[in-house]
Amino acid sequence: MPSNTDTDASKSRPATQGAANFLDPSILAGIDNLELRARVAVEGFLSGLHRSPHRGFSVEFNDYRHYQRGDDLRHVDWKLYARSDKLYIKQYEDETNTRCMIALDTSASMTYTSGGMSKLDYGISVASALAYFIMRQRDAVGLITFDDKLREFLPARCRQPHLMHLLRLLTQVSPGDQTDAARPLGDLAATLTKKSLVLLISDLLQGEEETIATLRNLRAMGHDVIVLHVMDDAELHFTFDESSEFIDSETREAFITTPASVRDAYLENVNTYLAECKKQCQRAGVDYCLLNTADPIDSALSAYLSKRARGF
Amino acid sequence: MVFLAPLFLFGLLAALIPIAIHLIRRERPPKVVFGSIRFLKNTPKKLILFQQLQQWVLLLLRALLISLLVFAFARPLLNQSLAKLLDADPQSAVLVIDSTLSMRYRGVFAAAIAEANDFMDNLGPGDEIAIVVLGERATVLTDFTDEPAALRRALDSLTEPSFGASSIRSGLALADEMLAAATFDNRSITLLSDFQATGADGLEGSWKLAPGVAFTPIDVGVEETQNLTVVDVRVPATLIDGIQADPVLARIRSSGSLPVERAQVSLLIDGEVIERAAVELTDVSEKVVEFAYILEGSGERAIEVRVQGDEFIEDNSRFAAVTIEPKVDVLVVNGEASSDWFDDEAHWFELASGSGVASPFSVTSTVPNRLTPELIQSVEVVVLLNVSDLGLQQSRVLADFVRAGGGLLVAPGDQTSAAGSTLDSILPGRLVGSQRLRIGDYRIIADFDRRHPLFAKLPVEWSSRFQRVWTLEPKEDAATLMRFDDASPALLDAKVGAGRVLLTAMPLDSEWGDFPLQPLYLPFLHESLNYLAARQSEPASYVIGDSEVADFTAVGLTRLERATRSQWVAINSDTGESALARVSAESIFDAVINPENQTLAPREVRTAQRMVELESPQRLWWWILSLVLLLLLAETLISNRTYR
Repeated sequence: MPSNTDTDASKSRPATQGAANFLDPSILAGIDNLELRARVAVEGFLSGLHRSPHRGFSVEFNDYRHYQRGDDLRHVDWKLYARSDKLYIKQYEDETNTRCMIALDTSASMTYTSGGMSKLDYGISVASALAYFIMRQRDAVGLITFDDKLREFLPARCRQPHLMHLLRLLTQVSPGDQTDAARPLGDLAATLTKKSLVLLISDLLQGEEETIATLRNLRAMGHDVIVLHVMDDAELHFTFDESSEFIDSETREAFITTPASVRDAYLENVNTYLAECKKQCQRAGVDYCLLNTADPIDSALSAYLSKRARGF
Repeated sequence: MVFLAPLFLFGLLAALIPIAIHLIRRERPPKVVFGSIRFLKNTPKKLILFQQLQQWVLLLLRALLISLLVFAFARPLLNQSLAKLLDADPQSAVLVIDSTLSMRYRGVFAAAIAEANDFMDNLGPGDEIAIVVLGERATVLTDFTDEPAALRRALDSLTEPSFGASSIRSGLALADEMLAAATFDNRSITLLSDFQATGADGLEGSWKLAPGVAFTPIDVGVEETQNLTVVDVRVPATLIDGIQADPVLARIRSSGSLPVERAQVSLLIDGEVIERAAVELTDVSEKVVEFAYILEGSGERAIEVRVQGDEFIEDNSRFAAVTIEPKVDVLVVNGEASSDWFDDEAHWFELASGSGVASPFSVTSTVPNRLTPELIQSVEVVVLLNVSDLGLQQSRVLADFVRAGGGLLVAPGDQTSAAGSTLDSILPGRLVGSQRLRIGDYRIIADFDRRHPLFAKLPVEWSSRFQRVWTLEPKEDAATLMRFDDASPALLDAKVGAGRVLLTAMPLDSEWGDFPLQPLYLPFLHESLNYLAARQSEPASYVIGDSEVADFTAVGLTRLERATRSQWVAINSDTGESALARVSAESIFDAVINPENQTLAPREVRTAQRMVELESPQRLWWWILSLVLLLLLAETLISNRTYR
């Protein structure tokens, strides 16, 4: 049973079997190299798929097109011109029809952990795994990090060095202050010129209504949106026993209470909140996936693939 | 509720420990940086209040737990009266306070009251006390009570000793009787007295206190005393006017342990000092003082003899009351008057009743035919000596005289006729006839009514002989006061109206017998005339405490309202109380303590025994510890809910 003072989540949860073990947050948390962590997670996920109907789905080949006036001459395939005497423009590898932007909430509330991975680490793991997975499918992936404003912005690309850049950026993420997702997401929307898939990784503990409203705008702009709602297990189940002074990680507001006396009311509040988030997301056409930091991260990958399969 | 081990109650201070911890070590609960407390803030307020309430309930429970454990160790008892029994080894005690005259000696009674107050101060809880006072008699001042306030009030009511005299034995006997019905087995009597020797009279017998009754004599008397007492004033209660009275005599006694060599004695008549005399008591302890003053005149006299010269003045006066009355007027009707004394019927009577200055009677003689109503109305007693018969007018007047309160003595003789007398209506019997006995035969007085006031002062032996007597037939309402040896009446008495009539069976001269020659003749006539004159003297001197003067609690002269008249009487103290010789308290103890008394076990042993007896049926600690167990369970549940 996890507690706020002495909790080891890995000991209290039964280990998953087979390749799925690699998706276990407790195992992933032990891997310092984020690339390796992402690879382990994705390979483990894929090996667990076996005869997945999604296999090869995302494979795209480079192509040529006829040169048109105004095209950059640097992109002309001169070798082909020598053989065929025709000008062809070589299309870039990142110019795929799938562009993903991962929006990672780095606010202070994401640093909470009841043991094991914090929500932020979990989000980073999910983001890196998704980026790895997307890049593996030759899709472009970008990243923004934010708290109450946009902190980092990395445009979506599909080149391999870009993945390294993205992962490096993720390793350098530091916790921010308060959350205001609406504004950074608005900024993101302004930069998205093509139809994209926005993956929001956040705990949505502050201003979820405004956030979802912004996501609704993204949907209206033609983008697809997946909300990966990261919550700690203790937040979901309030697994505290001892009377404590609970301090809000963002507002620093304190509240002394005895968990046993407020647990039922707390769980009712949390469930109402989660249900409302899901309901609002569905109403806005946003895919919603609740992630428990105590669970393997395959839920996030499944959510992505599910969206991809629906013909994004 | 009380406790067998009350020292453990100091452990109640430990109940402050949880409170102190709560107040002093108010540690902040551990801090938990939580993602968001928004879901906590929305919890219902009543939950928070309930949580705070739980904390206070926990605090209360913990303090209560410690308190109950302390109570259990202190071994509580529910029944307060039993607890009192245990605490104090309660006793039933009677405090006997000597309040006789001798206790009026300087500071003695105050010392007794101080000792009584000390006794009250040392009472234990539950003790029941009664107070007996030795005054004119032993009386219960307060029956058994365990209320100290009531006992104090009773003590406060004892402002001064009485003038009475009562024995220590009477007080101890009363106390012993009260203890027989007392509540507790631990019974005791405490006697506060000066242990005057006369008060110890009656203790030398076999009487003892009941077995098991403890006795504590406390001597409050003083060792050296000095006392002069007028133990007696000799003066007749009644004097007859014109008769030379004896001088007033007073006996003065020195009865203290220290001698008094010189004293001043005063005679007071009606409050005025008439005469003083100096008394030398150098070699003697008692002396008689004769005053020269002679009582005279008529009416009542209040006499006081007072002595001065000692420290104990309460018994320095003695009182007497004297009534000086006129002579009794007697009219003698002589039925056989003669110039020769031996033939005169009234000769012996007049000799006995006397007409001189020393006689208490004023005798007037007449003959039947000269008996006038005026003569009859001028006297108190009419005597008919051998009167044959009276005229109707004379008889009617005489009858009216008797009914109005006069006295009539009828002594028939040979002149008297038998039946058909005009006085038959008032005579106590009928004259049947007279018989002369054979020569050598005679009647004697064989029996008389000793309870009749007429014979109260007369001796028993009668030796008169009669050769001839009247045979009397008593009426129903008549009393036969004397009988001859043949059981025939010799003297009849009857109350007629307000007066009295005496009828003899023989004349009062020497013609039929030798009665006038006997020594009893004179006192018999005097008592008969006094009886008929209704001049019976009443006691004029009492000792305080006598039933006739029970309402009077102080010595002195007072007016006593009798049924017949109002009279001055003297009330004096018992002279025994003036004798200040003392006996030791130990001798009193030895005299009254019962040899069968068993030695009581030590108080600690009795207390331990009683503790076991009292505690065994009500082991409260068992229930308290059961309650502690339940409270511990409740505390565990609540604390788990509240803290861990």
